Amino acid sequence: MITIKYYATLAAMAGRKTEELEASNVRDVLRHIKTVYGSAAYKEARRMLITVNKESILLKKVFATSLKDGDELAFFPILAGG
Amino acid sequence: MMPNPVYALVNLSSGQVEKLTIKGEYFKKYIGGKCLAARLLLDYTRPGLDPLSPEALIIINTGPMNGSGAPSSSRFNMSFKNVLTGGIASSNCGGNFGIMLKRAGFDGLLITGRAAVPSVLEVLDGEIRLKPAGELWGLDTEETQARLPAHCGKLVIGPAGEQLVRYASTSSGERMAGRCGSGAVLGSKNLKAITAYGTKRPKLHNEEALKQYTKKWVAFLRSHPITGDALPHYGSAGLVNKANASHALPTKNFTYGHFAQADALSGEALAETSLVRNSSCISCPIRCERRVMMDGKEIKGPEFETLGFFGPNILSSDLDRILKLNYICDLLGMDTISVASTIAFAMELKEDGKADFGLDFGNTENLADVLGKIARREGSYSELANGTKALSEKYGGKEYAIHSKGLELASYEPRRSVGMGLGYATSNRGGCHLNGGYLALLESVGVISMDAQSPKGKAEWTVFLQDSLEAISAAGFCLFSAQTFVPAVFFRLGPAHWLTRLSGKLMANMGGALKLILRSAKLLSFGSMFLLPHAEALRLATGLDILTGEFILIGERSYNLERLFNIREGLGGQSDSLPARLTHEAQQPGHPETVVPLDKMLPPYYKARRWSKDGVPTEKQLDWLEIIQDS
Ligand code: SF4
Repeated sequence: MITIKYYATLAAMAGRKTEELEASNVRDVLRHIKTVYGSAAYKEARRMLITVNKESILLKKVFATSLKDGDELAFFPILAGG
Repeated sequence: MMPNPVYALVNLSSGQVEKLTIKGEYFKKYIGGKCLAARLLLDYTRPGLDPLSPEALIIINTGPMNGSGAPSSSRFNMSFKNVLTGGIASSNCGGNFGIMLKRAGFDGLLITGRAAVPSVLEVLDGEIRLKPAGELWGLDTEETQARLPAHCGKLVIGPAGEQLVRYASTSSGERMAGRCGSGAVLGSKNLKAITAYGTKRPKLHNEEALKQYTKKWVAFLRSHPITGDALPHYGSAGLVNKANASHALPTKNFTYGHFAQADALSGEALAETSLVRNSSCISCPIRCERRVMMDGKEIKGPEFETLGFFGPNILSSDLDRILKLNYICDLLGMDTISVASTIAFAMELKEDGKADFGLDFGNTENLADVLGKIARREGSYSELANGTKALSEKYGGKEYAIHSKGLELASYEPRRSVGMGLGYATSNRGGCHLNGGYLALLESVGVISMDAQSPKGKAEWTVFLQDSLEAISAAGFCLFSAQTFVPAVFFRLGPAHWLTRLSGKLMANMGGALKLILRSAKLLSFGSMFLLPHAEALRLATGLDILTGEFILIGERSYNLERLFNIREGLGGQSDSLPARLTHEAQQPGHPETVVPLDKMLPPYYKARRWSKDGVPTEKQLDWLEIIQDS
């Protein structure tokens, strides 16, 4: 089971902040978002900062990053400056 | 044309005040703020001075844009000999003091000497006088300001400045000139506060055109995802999760770059738990300041740096405690970065068996108390008041003493953002991300990422950004206003989109193009809302013939001047360094590439700057920048 965490606009679109899911890679989760929450949520999810166990998927295999039982996948707003 | 800047030279020892008008040639070349201040420090001080001696000079000045009404243009500057590094220091602040100083008839103050008793300097409509500080001495920054006349712009120090804590800051309202020890310099001069009041309106060259331009620029800032959305919503605190996700969040005195509980300290968590509203410095549409509740009182919220240093870097995830420690530092008048970093170093010294100040990673219970003891230099805590470098010279641990030139690094772990590492090492004021070019934004915490481990292109980008930020700052703008140079389209696509990733790769290959831009800057005679909108505003405000290229050139001139000051004080190429932990210990075992390859980046950096192999500006370069004629 993978724990998914939604932040900011995506949390509002999904109507929840967290859920649990069976998935073998990031793409599976994105597909789930598209099916359950619609295309707008899917589009929003794809453009967010996606982390697996708080590590950016850019440091891994991007959308092909594999997931295993107990992993935490999070969608953070990419907007940040300082 | 905007009139030439008028400064006051104040000798606190003799009580003498002299008005001086900056010559037109200097105004054109050095415009104001940190750039003009670097020129004046070179002109007016002799090498080798103790930064806390009466003879030392502190320059508190504005840039031409202060008071112009242009966006984010209230930042004033303090330049002086750096108390932590011995090189140059510039520290800027968004409080209302700068604008009030201008209204009082002065673009800057040059302060030297030492008052016989603790004093307040009063600048009132063109007149300057010194008054005894009396009961103000010993008070914190909030109480001090509360007792000064409400209508004035104020600049004050807290107990830390009075006690010459080497990283003591200066406050104007709730905004701080945090870094490099400006508070200690004022303390050494027995100057508790400066007040300014006046009714003069700054004279602008083309007020109407600037107004129209400002409207367009504000609309652009509001439409951009960073300045219109990210900074207003999360402030710089929004960077915590990003830095953590990229392993660029200093953890346990920079042992790691990732903290499992970082989420609890993030901008998102702050927005959900403690945020009351956002606020801003004067004339800023970005409004990045956080206002939070603490014990029923509304106070200023922490910046990313403070969250990082009082959080992961000392292994704490207690957000409430951080709010409190941040507030205490502001009251005492201490830079949160330097003090918290010094504490982390002391924690590691204890773990390493080298010294015991009663400080342990993960234990924040006693920190409020410790901060007070440092500020008042009580007992052994007085040693912590001298900063990380001094502590490492006495107790060892130099390899994990996280500073460059003596100034503690900011909260970006450079082993996962190697260009930021180059920036820290070469930054004129020491380990500063902003003065260092802030490559972290293009490597680890922004939407576009160049390869964070590769040195490719980093030297040229660092030079380009250092120079650009330098000019923005000298004019009196906030550096956050520069973040619109990352095109908004990438935020719509997201960091994982192939086009965004491809752009990151292309950027790393832009070294040659950037070098060309820098070398032909004199030919870039256009204004652009996308690339440095500040230049056009500066032209309209001053009437000086400054377009994009000349603007970058001012930044480059400033960077070279500051470098000359550093070299004069013994900080040449040998000081462009980082502690061994960052250059020789891989952040992640099994990933030898997670170090800062400084030796690979410095030679191309010097080359891009057209400095000698030892990092000294060549005569040809100084001639090209038209600095040599003034030396
Ligand atoms: S962006 Fe933030 S720090 Fe900069 S001027 Fe605006 S409110 Fe002040």
